[in-house]
Amino acid sequence: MGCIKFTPVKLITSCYVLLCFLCFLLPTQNGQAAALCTATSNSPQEISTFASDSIALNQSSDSNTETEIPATDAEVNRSKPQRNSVLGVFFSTDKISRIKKNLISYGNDHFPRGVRSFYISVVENAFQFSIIFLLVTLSLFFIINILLVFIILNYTIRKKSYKEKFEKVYSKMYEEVLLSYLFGSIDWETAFLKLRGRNKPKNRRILTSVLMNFNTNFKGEFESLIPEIYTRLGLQHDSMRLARSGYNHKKVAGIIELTHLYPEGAKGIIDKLINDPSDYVRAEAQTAYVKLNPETPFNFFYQLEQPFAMWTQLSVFNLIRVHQLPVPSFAQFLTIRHPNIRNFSLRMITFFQQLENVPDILKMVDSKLDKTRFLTYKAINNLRLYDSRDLIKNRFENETEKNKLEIIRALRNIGTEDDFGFLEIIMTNGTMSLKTEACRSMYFMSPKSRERLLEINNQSNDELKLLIAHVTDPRN
Amino acid sequence: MKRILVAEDNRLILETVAHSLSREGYDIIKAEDGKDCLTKLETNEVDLLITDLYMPNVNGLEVISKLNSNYKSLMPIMVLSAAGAEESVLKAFDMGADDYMVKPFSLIELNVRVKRLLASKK
Repeated sequence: MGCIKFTPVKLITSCYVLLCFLCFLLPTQNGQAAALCTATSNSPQEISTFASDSIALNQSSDSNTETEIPATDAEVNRSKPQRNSVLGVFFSTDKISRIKKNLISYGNDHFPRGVRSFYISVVENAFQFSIIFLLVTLSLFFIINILLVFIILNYTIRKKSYKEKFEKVYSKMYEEVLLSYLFGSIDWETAFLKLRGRNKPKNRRILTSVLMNFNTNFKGEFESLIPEIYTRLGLQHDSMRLARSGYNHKKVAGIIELTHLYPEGAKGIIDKLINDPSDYVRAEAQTAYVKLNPETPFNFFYQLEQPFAMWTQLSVFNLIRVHQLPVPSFAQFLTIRHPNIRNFSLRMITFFQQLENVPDILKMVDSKLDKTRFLTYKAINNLRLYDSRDLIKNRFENETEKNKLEIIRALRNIGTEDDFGFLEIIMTNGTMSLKTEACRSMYFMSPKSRERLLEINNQSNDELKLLIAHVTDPRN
Repeated sequence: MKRILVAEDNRLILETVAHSLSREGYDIIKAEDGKDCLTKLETNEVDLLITDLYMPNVNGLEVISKLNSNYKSLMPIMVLSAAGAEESVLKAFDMGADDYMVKPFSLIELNVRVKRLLASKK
């Protein structure tokens, strides 16, 4: 399984070792090492001897190394009650008191008055305790945290592994029973009895997942049988509860289950979720709407208050293509106020070559949005709307660079001799990308336009010659 | 009795297909991934291979290509996949698949296609 197993014995042993370690390190209130107190064999005399020895050792070592401390200070410190610990062997009380003084003087010099008193009280309080006590507390806190992490990790892994095992066992059992029923080996009554634990919520989730697996992978004879089993077991109520849940992931799961296994019940719920504030829920509800309403798959556009997300547009488009759903005339949605619906409709008009309601498409060149106008020029190009040449040429001057390029591209396919002059002006005055595109359009428009281009080539300047050479080069 | 090797990582599909084909009178060998499929192909005489495209360890296309390069077999191969895009289908046929079914699929259709493939082998 790969996880650390804590048996009670191991846990108790670890705790005991930890406690022993802490007891050894913990100082007593009056400065004596706790280790000496916990050592049962030691007498109070021995303890005081050890403590005074350690103080003497500190002081002698300090006097050797810290020569700058005046001798009088050392005497004063010696006369004061000492707060020693095991670490006292390494840190002298002089040094500690000097740190304290430095901290206080730093506070006095640098902190504003309001904070100063608080800061000093914190320093004073901190130095009430032996440094070893603080270190031990921190170490203890750290060790407890690590232990807690291990315990929680261990618990989580065990729980997850149990859940996986539970799901594996039950899904295998349910699959076998349902297969026997679907292939006619057993009748429904027997199958129903064999579906053990079917009333428990966890088991019902497994049953739904098995049925979903059947539904997404098989069609034909199973198509009607699977939803029937789903409703016989009353699993639609669970899915409806999920779809009404406050959690978005549950709502999404509920929508998917209902769409696949209980379409008639799904419709009512999905209508309400089409304008859900969550992008995920909304996207799933909108895709479900398209699937559940093959006659009017996009009528939800009229009730849409939230944006029609790009991801949903892709999902819906994929759904239409995969399931070969009948598509409506998208020109009817060009009047909807949501720009992303209008843009989607223009894309669909282009893709499905919907030539009805051309005037509605052409109206879109007046849109305030660059993107919508761009898609309109693209539609004009792809649908080969020859009569709209003058319209797009008139719009050219005030368009963005991207849209200008699209207009020139459109002229490549719908342009005539009348448009040569227009393109020639661009080839002379436009930006480099416009010049290149105009040159390309001219070259590919017709044999006549190509001839004209070669004529220009003979007359024109070097830059234009280079452009023509670039466009006519088959490698480009 | 004709022997069919079914390689599929989704246990439900594997069991259902195996169940359906064994009812038709075929001897079924099951493999849960590509590696398992290749091992079973080495140790068993198989008349037809039904394989998924996306499987752990070794994918369906690799299985087909290894089968064609190593065994020089005339055994028919059917691909069962959720990938219905033209490129996937063409790639599978290009690698040596004889038939391609897109999920979700009908078991009745599967049985008919299996029968046809086995008959074409004769």
